[in-house]
Amino acid sequence: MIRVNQATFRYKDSLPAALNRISFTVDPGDFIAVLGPNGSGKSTLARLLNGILIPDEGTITVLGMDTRDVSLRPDIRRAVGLVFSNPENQMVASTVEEDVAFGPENQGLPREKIRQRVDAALARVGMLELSHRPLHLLSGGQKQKTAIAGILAMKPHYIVLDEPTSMLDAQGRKDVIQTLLELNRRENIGIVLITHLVEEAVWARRILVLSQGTVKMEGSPEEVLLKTIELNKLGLESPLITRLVAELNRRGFTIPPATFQVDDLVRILCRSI
Amino acid sequence: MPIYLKNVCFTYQPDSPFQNQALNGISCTIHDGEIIGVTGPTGAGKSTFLQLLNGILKPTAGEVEVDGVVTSQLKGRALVNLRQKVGLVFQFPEDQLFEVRVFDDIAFGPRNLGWSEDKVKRAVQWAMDMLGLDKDEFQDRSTQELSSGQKRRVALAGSLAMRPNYLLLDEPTAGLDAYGRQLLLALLRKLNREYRTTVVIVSHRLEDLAAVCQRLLVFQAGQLALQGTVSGVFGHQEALQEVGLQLPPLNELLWKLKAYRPEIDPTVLTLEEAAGEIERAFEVYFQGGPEDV
Ligand SMILES: Nc1ncnc2c1ncn2[C@@H]1O[C@H](COP(=O)(O)OP(=O)(O)OP(=O)(O)O)[C@@H](O)[C@H]1O
Ligand SMILES: Nc1ncnc2c1ncn2[C@@H]1O[C@H](COP(=O)(O)OP(=O)(O)OP(=O)(O)O)[C@@H](O)[C@H]1O
Ligand SMILES: [Mg+2]
Ligand SMILES: [Mg+2]
Repeated sequence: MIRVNQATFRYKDSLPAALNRISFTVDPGDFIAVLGPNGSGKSTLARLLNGILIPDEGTITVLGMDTRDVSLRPDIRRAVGLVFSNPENQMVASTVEEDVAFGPENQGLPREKIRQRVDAALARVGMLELSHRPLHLLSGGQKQKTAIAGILAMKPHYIVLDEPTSMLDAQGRKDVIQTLLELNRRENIGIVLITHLVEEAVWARRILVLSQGTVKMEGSPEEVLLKTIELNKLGLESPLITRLVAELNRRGFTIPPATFQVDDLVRILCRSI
Repeated sequence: MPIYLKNVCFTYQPDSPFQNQALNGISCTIHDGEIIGVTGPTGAGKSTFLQLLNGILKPTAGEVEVDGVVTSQLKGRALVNLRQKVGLVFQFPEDQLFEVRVFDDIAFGPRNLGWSEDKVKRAVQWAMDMLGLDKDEFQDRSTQELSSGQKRRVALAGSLAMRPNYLLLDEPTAGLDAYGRQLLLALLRKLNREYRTTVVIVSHRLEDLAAVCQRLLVFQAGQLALQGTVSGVFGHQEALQEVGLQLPPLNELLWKLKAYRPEIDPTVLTLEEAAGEIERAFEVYFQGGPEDV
């Protein structure tokens, strides 16, 4: 479990706290989506969860390990893999496969095992073909895919992803979500997905909405995503299909409001024929 | 003036082991004063295309003509002049934030144009307002100490402040929250309408392109796979799928419903229009049921 207890973090005394007394837990096999406007503290939270940043007040424990304890830091980073929002901040090697191998190598795995992990991770994101390409010769989306593969290859207990699909095409976005759901359901890996794409948050078990460094809303997708007015006040939106359903219901339809996906709405409308 | 591309090819690292032809035989025209969207799968050549339009990259074959000049013939001062008329916002905003202070970063372009400090100040203030960056809160902050959406806004403000005639934006809505996205899209419409700014937007989010663009270019593996009006391109669902792209949720929905109700037009662009299509096709079944008809 990751336990965040009354955590406060301040980059500078002259600035307001980026996070202010945040508390929540990520259970093993949990899937949490984090939404929130620009500057609300999402990336700060991501960096706190794997111990890159340490809370000024309050505590964060990962599998019982307190992130303030310097001697535990390598274990904490191994337990919680973090995909940065800018993949360039994460690149450590010179080619795609070296970069993805970096994590497993640090874990001291045997060569063969590393090879397997790297190939499996690259296959998952569709980058096997480009495995020998130097990193600086990649397109934006290719960099983002490499960064994701690097974390997958580490097989951490928890994966925190900071806007991992912001530069991907539709197929790439689908593949990433599919991969996360598989890891979550089959291997019980806990997922924290930070995103501006509310359509992605629909897949989570729970949603946290941050604003100005505090948790403003929390609950299942049904509980959070139908509160259109509250979301709009925070500068956010409910999913497009949900807004369409609301518009149709205004016009006299009777569709369940908690309809988030295209295919669900197709099914509901066409059952009526 | 329009931007013309004639048989443009671009190869990265020619004659090296990593030689890579990113664009192959591109011919197209970007009309004066239009907002045009560019999309296509990862690695299709979109960012390469955009960088050819302001002379940062020069074609390895063919010609790019911008603002009446052929970019491959430009050197030195003339190239700098062109870049001042053609603003480019990179895919990763970190790639263009150089100054420490936010104000100085946004003021960088305007100062290079030789504007008076007073005019520079007004331009920076205007650009910050337009992008929802509060001046008192942000002008003295360090560009390295911002959230990613804040960095994106500063990068956008820096290009806008110069009031370029042409604006090239690489994934400008990536990393922006919903409010910021609406703000930016409205701003692009305004610049285009009031100042006839030509805008080229690269994006994976077809709903953003649909909201502002008049035409779309679809790239695949370095070639122009499809082009046309937004509705026209959205009418080619199969071709888009082959390229690996997905329509915006509304159009995907309407295409799926069309299989049951052929009278539906799957190429409409707004939520209200989509609701209208569904209402016409399905309402008898929902409102009172078929026996009332
Ligand atoms: N290195 C830093 N130094 C000082 N302040 C920072 C630093 N990084 C972020 N901040 C500030 O802390 C606050 C929270 O930033 P954070 O990056 O966590 O936001 P975010 O929710 O991830 O936003 P975005 O959606 O734009 O990525 C913001 O106001 C930001 O300006
Ligand atoms: N500096 C470079 N050297 C060599 N090859 C490169 C370089 N930059 C990009 N490429 C390659 O050229 C092709 C086109 O890249 P480009 O960045 O234009 O794609 P893109 O359509 O913008 O992709 P994305 O949607 O991922 O940003 C890709 O195969 C990419 O790997
Ligand atoms: Mg962030
Ligand atoms: Mg690109």
